[in-house]
Amino acid sequence: MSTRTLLKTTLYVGDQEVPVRIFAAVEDQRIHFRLLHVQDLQPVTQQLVHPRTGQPVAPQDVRKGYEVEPHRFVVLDPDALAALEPANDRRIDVTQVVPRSALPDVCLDRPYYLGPDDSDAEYFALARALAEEDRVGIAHFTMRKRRYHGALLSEQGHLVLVTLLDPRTLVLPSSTLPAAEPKALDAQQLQLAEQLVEIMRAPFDPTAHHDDHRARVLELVERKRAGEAIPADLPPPPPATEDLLRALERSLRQAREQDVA
Amino acid sequence: LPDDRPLERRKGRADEAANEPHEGREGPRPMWSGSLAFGLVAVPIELHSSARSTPSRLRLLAPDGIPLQRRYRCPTHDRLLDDDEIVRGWPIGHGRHVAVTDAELDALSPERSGEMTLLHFVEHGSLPLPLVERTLYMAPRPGSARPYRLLAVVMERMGLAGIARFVMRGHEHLAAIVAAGGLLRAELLRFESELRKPDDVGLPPPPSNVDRRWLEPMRRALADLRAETVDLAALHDEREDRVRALAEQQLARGEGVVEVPAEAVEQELREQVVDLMNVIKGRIEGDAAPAA
Repeated sequence: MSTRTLLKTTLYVGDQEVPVRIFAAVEDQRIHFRLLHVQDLQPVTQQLVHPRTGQPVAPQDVRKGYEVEPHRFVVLDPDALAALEPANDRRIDVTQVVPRSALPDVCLDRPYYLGPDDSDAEYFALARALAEEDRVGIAHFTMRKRRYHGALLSEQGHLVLVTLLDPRTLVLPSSTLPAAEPKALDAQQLQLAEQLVEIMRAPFDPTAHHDDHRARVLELVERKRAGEAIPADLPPPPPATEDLLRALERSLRQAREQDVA
Repeated sequence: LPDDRPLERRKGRADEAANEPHEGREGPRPMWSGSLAFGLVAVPIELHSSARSTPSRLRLLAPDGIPLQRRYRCPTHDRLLDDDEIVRGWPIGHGRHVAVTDAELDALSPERSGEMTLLHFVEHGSLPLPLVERTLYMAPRPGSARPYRLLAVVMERMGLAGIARFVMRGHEHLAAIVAAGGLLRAELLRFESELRKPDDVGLPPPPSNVDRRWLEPMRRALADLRAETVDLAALHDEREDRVRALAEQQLARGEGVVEVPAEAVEQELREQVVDLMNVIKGRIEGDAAPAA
């Protein structure tokens, strides 16, 4: 099965050009409910309405405006707004190649596959060279009339582009946090915690985790349909550990027993 | 027919309001509050959104310049509905539906609704970045600074991330708990089935030997672009900047400026940003604070 190409474009890395196609990498599998009116459990419709009159506004009468200051809007000229749309220059420009740790993970948004267009040789050579670097590329491109920024990655021999969020819209990790000061911590607790983490170490296996939400939702729907009362009370979360040292010792003992078993 | 995505987004935005001060509590409102389980150690924590505010102030307006509201209408009752008159539902045929609440969904897996168990620890570098869906910051609740710091120090020292499962607002999540600079964060991961395989999108498999003629020039081109820090200004949303510039030009010329009475503007997020990082910092340093 192949997926629709979102865009045919060219990846530029310095003086190198690699023709590529962009494909969506995420498939929405989340459960989406209908919205119902609580009184009659009938599906609702959605409308754009004037807040004063509650009357719907026809699509051709809708304007776009920008809130320049609280409660002060500027109604934008549609032609001027349209003129702001970037031209599709059909290029992805890589401007930096940085260590993965330099990229704030908080910026990561949506992944896309890049696939070779025309020639496979340049594409796979770039994917290999990027994997050898063990770094990520910072890229800029236009797609569907919008400018995007992205992280170019090499994932198991293929190129992946993950779009990045504007850092101004995010809380970035602060460098002024109290440094991870091991000295301030109890040496014995530190040692036990390290041993416990070591025992719980495993390779990351994404295939081991499945979303069983859909099955549970359908089960819930069946039970409710059969008229069963569903308890919606949660047990209180466990109390905070009071004796940290003792809890670590017991955890370690238990983990070792399980490890041997 | 509308599904619950817009409502979830709106509810999500309200929760994420992040950083919006609220009554009766100190600090920003958490998205999730529960216990992080490390072996038999229970660490009370909160998860906070990393979103700072609504990204754009571009709005849809009526001909008179008043911002429009997106509202739900019941076709049977022929009237507009408030958000609290809406429930989520699942169709069971013949035009009938079963209503489902978040609380009922959470109660289906009580063990994951109030507790986030660290199942195992993996090399942080082995987590594929395309799996990361969003990042939430983890703050210790008052009194749990000590185990929080212990875990943050140990994980960062060992270069490991913890893998955990939990339920938040009726949705199942897989998360990587990552430690950096003494701070823990939860990176919500996509389930593997949500990510297409290269084969699914029709990509050819990588060859066992790449073309030598191309490898050397690619290596050189990448090496030329090496940098140690990311230029964050290069990641700014240009559209937002351009729209704002256009609005400011029109404002200077007095073109299309509309003053909107406060009550006509939907209670949207304002940039009442409490410094989340400062709040977390205070909690981490709050070693001596008695348990709440």
